[in-house]
Formats: sequence, C-alpha cells, structure tokens
Amino acid sequence: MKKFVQNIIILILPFAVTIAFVNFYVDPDNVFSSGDFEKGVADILLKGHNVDNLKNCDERVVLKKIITQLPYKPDIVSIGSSRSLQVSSIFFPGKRFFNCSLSHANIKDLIAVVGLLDSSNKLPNEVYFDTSPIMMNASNSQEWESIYQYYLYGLKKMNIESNSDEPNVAFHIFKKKCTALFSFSYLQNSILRFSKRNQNKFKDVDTALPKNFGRLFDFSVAYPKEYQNRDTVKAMADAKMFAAKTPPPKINLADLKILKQIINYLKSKGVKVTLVNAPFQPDCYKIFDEKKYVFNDLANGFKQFAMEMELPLIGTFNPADANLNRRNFWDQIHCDKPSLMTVMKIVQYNPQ
Amino acid sequence: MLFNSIEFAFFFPIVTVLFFLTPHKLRWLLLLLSSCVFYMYFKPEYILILAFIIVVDYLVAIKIEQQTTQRQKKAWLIFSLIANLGVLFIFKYFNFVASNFNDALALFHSTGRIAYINLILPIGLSFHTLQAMSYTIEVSKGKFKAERHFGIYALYVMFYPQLVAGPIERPQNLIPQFHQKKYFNYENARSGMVLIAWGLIKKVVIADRLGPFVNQVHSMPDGYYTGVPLIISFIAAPFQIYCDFSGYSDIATGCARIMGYNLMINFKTPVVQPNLNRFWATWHISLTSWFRDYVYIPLRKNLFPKAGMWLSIMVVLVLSGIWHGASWNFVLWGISNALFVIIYNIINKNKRIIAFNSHLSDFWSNKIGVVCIAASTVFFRSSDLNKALHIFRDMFKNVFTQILLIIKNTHGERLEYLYLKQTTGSFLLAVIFLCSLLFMETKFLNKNLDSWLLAKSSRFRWAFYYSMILIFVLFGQFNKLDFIYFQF
Repeated sequence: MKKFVQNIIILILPFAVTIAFVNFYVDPDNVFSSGDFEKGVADILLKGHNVDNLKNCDERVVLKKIITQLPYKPDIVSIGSSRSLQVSSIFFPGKRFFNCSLSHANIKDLIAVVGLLDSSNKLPNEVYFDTSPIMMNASNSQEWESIYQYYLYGLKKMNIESNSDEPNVAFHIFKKKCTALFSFSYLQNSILRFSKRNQNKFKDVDTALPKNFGRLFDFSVAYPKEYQNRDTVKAMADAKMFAAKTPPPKINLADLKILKQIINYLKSKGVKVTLVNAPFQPDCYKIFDEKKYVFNDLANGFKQFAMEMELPLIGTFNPADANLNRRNFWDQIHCDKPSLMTVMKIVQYNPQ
Repeated sequence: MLFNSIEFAFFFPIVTVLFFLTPHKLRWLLLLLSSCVFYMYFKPEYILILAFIIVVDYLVAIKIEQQTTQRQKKAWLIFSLIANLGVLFIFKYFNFVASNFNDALALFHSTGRIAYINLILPIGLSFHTLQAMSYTIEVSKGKFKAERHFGIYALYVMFYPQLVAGPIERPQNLIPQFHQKKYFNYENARSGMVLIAWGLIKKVVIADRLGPFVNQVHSMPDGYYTGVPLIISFIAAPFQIYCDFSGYSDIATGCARIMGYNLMINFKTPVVQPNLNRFWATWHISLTSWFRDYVYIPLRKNLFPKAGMWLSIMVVLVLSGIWHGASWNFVLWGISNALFVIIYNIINKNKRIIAFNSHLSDFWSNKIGVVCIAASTVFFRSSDLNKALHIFRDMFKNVFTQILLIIKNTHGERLEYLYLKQTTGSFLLAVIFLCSLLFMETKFLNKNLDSWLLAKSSRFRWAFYYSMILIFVLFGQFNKLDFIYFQF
C-alpha cells in the first residue's frame, strides 16, 4: 500500500503544484487579487473617463471602490441587473446620474447596493429600480458576496430578516479561493487568459466610446461594436434557446417582500423611487406562449405592486407597446440603447 | 453522488482507506453504510424503497430454499417478482400506462380517467430491481444458496460503485466476494486506478464534450433545427451515450477493483465491432446477458421452441427498450434495434448479396451497424416520440443550402449550423477526441486497456499515466453533467 500511495503522490503532486501555481499567478477572474485590478478600473472611472476592454473584472468591487470615493452625491441612480446597465447620463439630461446596476444581480445585490449608497452617504434623490423577473426569482447567484459587508449593513438598516447566509460568507469566500486554486476549469481559463495576456489589459480611453466591452464614466455599460451590430438571426436563435430553457418568469414573493422593505427605507430617506419594466426579445414570447407562461400575470403583478406602494411604473414587458421588433434586440434580454430610452418613456402608472 | 464530482473525489479515498483499516468482520458494515451515504446523497427518503426490496427478496429467497416442491418454489419466486416489478411499475410505468389508457378511453368518448401519481423515479431503480430479481431467480433454480447474512445480502443490492447504474451483477459473482477477506493488492489498485482514469476521460473529456452538440438539438423546440445540425447530433449521440455509460462502468469497476472486488466488464469496445451481433454481445453486457439468461433462453425453450428466434429477439429488445424508459420512443428504440438485428442476420445468411470478400464485409457491416445504432439512438435521446420523428423528417431538409452557407460563412452560419453555437475549438476538439477514441478502441479490440499497458515498458506506462492526467485536466469539461443512464 505504501508503494501505491507513493506512486499516486508522484503522479498527482506535480500536477497539483503546477495547477495551484498557474491559477494563483494568472488568476483570470481576480479571485486572489486584493482588488488591485478593480482599483485600476475604478481610478479611471473616478477621473470621469471611460474604460475599454474590460474582462473578468469583479464589477461589484469596482462599484464599491467608486461609490465610496465618488466626490459628489448623484441625483439619480439606476439599480438592477444587466438589463438596466445601459441606462446612462444621456437618459437624464442636466442631472448627475450614476448606474449601480450589476450583471446577474439578485435581491441580495439590491440590498448590498442600497447599503453601499447609504453607508457612503451617497443616497440619491431618485432611484430607478429594474424589476426584472430574472432578478426577482430567488436566484442563487453568489456574486453579491464581493460586497457582503454592505449587504449586512443593508439588512440591519432596512430591518430585513436575515437568513443563515451571513455567517457563511467568509467561509464561502475561502471556499471559492480554495476551489479556484485547484480547479481544472480555472486552470483552463488561466491558460487561455495567459495566451491572450496582451489583449486582456483594460484601457483608459478618456471620453472616447469603448470599442470592446467597457464602461462609461457613469458606470453604464458599453457593448462591443460587433455585439451592437449583431445579426438578427443569431439574436433570434439565442432568444429561442433562452426561452426554451428558462423556467416560468415569476416573482418570488419573499424577494418582493424584501423589495418592499428596501423601497420603504428609501422613501423614509426622502428618495423618490420609480419601477422600470423592460421587454424581452419578441421571439421569446412565442416560446413562452407555447410553454403556457402567462406574461400578462407578471406585468399585472408588478403594476399592482406599484399601485400598492404608490410608485411610478414606467416601461413595459411587451415589446409591441414600444414598437420594438427583433432588430432592436442584441440578444434575448438586452435591447439597444435607443430602444431602452423609448421603453422608459412609457408610463404605465403614475400615482400623482 | 456523481463519480465526476468533487464530493466523490473525497468520498472514495476515505472509504477505501477505512475499508483496509477495518477488520474483515466489519467491512460489510462499512461498505453498507458508505453505500447508504452514497445513495442518500441523491434523495434520502428513497432508501426506504431500496430497503423494502432488500427485505422482501432476502426473506423470499430463504423461503424458496426451504420449499420442497418446485411448485412452492415457483410460487414464492412469483411473489418476489411481483414485489420487485410492482415497485418498478408504480414508480416508472404507472403514469405511462395510465396516459395510454386515458388516451384509449378518449378515443371511445369515455369521460373516465385514471388519475396520475406524482412520484419521482428513484435513481437506479431499474438497475437494482434487475439485480435483486436475478438473486431470487438463481436461488429458485438451485444455482445459488440463499444468503443468510442480511448485511451481506443488502450490500449485494447496494454496493455503491454499481448501485445506481450497474453493472447489473449476479449473486454467484458478487456475494462470495463479500465473504472473502480482501487484502490490499498493488496490481489491483494500479489497474483499478487506470480504469477510473480511463472512465473519467471517456465521461469528462469525450462524452461531455460531445454532449452540447446533442443536447443543443434535443433541447430546442421541434422544427427549430433542420439539416446539418441534426446530422451532427445524429453522429455524436451514440458516441456520447457510449462514452458516458461505459465511462461510468469503468469508474465503477475500477473503484471496486481497488478494494479487491471484481465486477462484470460491461463494455468490450462495441463501437468498433464488425457487426450488429457483435455489437449487442459487447454493449451493456450485464443487461444483455440478464435478458439473454432470464428472458431470451426461457422464451426460446418454452414459448417459441421452433422458428422463434426472431420473435424472441424482438421480445427481448422491446423489453430492453421498455426497461430503459416508460415512453413510446423507447419501445420504438427496441423495435428498431430488433429489426436491424433481424435484417442483418437474414442478409448475413446470404453473404454473397452484400460483399465479395470478408474484409470488405466486416468494414461495411461495421459502418452500416453504426448508422443503424445511430438511427435507433434518435429514439433513445429524444424526450418523446414526436421529437424523434421530427428529427428523422428534418434531417435532410436544407442540407445543401446549409453546406453552401457554411462554406461562405458570411453571417456566422458555420457557428450556427456546424458548431451548434460552440466555439471552433470545441468543435475541433470534439472531432479529434472522437477519432482518438475510435483509434484506441481499435487498439483494445479483443484486449483491454490494462493488458495493453502491461505489455509496454515501465517508462511508457508512466508517460501514459501522466498523459491521461494532462488530457483530463486540460480538456475535461467540468460542468458536472449527470450520467445519462442515471435517469433509468
């Protein structure tokens, strides 16, 4: 048995050491970095410049660094998922706008972002909440852990009942690091990243628009040119696949209760809150219909919620309401910027 | 617990080390508890179903042995079969039968309906039902003595390496091994590790790399894809299933071998066999031999003694189809396979019709056999009969137009039709690994990987081990896809 164990160690040890070294050294998703990468990005945005070529960056850490150092208090903030990441300053002329939306956001991100704004004394006069059913659907995404201190702050401030996640956050982060250190898929990413190391550095492009994936000074997203000019057929294919694989879009009641608490807190601080609905690519609805998902129920649910909370509700889930067709969409859930502007001009409910 | 999960990477070494540290008398208990943990990782409450089957068959086997007349033995055997098949029927076939019955009632404008039951199929139920049944059948035939040690018998049904997807063992092979004292043996451990590594490569590097090309087509609505994507999925599907399932069997056999237990070899390079008869003799051997011994031979002996070979083959393959899944596409899978085998054998009897020399005959037999298997696999992989029929209907639609578009590739048609939304690299790697698999399988025809390796020098072996790990680490798909056969 001794010889066997020895041989196994001889076989595995060189691989384990090499994998750990490569994963730690290349660190394609910045799991081990203490946020230096994100600090570089935040510094550019804080100068009021745009950033280009932004890949594998923890946008939550960037947001944290920016908000805590932002020299002004924004007038308007948009909070939500990637579906509201395109909302930018040009939507609100004459106002100081900042986009606090996050990719793959869930309700915990919303708590953390409001906690971040509040603790940094940057609560704006007005907040636009993206009410995406994907975000309000008890998502298990763990990305909020990057800003978990603000999540805890938010829970406490807004009197939201905590669940068992909190004590585990430090352990989750430790586990994430250990997993990344010996992960084979992280190694594959490391090798890919290393082979393209010269193409992967983010760039300060001053006021020029990013050519690749990037962020504007107000933290709104800039999509690559090829994505903006995406073939409609491909977007249609993505939409159909997304709709076929997506579970019924519905609102999780526990998440809705938390959203209510967040909104009440913001209201108590004198912040005006507006809810926003954004449509999916039109082909999704054909598949949703085939699968008997009733989207009207969802839309009515949000409208009822807005009425109950006496909040303005703008936008729509129905692309036809904004005269949008498949050419206005880059993929299944993201329409182009002018279309989003049109969507946000639709007023579904206004309590005043 | 999945064999390709991080949990199993900890579970297996811990159990193995504890196994060798535990005195022989208590090893059955350690293995039984480990098997319970392994099974309960999926859905804990379903262990009660397994416990029910175990208790019934344990007691019935002793009863069978105590009976003096064949008639009484047969009665107890029937009781055991009803108990086993009854559980399987409730969990797997009830809704299928009810749905067909309701459809038939609707045809006659009847308003009556059988209510459906909302139960999830316990993982591996079809496998351990057959294994449990083979025990009582063997005892009733007098070929095996009823096991008096309840723990050992429970372990026979629950032995974790083969608990959820086989190989479906026979009592003569496995139960005596649990009574034998096992010592650590370097050669067993080495060859077990090689089998595990080879199984993991088949699963993680080949099957899961081919998976997206098959799953993409099957996950989309009917009629979404036509032509080239369907052909790619048609080619990839049988190899995906083979690598997925034989990978599982290799890992199971390897794990058991390290502890000193020899499980049945489930696959003997079926994809490179020269004809359909050889394919079925080397594919999922533990299942085909189960049906051969307990269904085919009794059918030929008792029910169809004369001209009944074709009918027996049809019955066996249809039953095998139904065993896999409760839907009409699995019935058609069985029928199509039976028809292919029957037609092949009829033609083979008149060999001059198809070939002028035996080498050419073997070559073309293999290729035709692979196409036949691929065709029946469409039924196997489809979620329902409609989906399968759509695939056959649309497979050659727009092929030439798509090929021209793929060559021009002006709007990314190559990505859409050829790579099925995967990257160029993924597509090329899938092709390279598929070709490598066929090359290796040809090398192992009539021998196994381990005996092939043992004939090589020590340096070569070490280089081979390192290469295996390197390929696994660099090209594996680590998104923890379930094993396809877990659904049965």
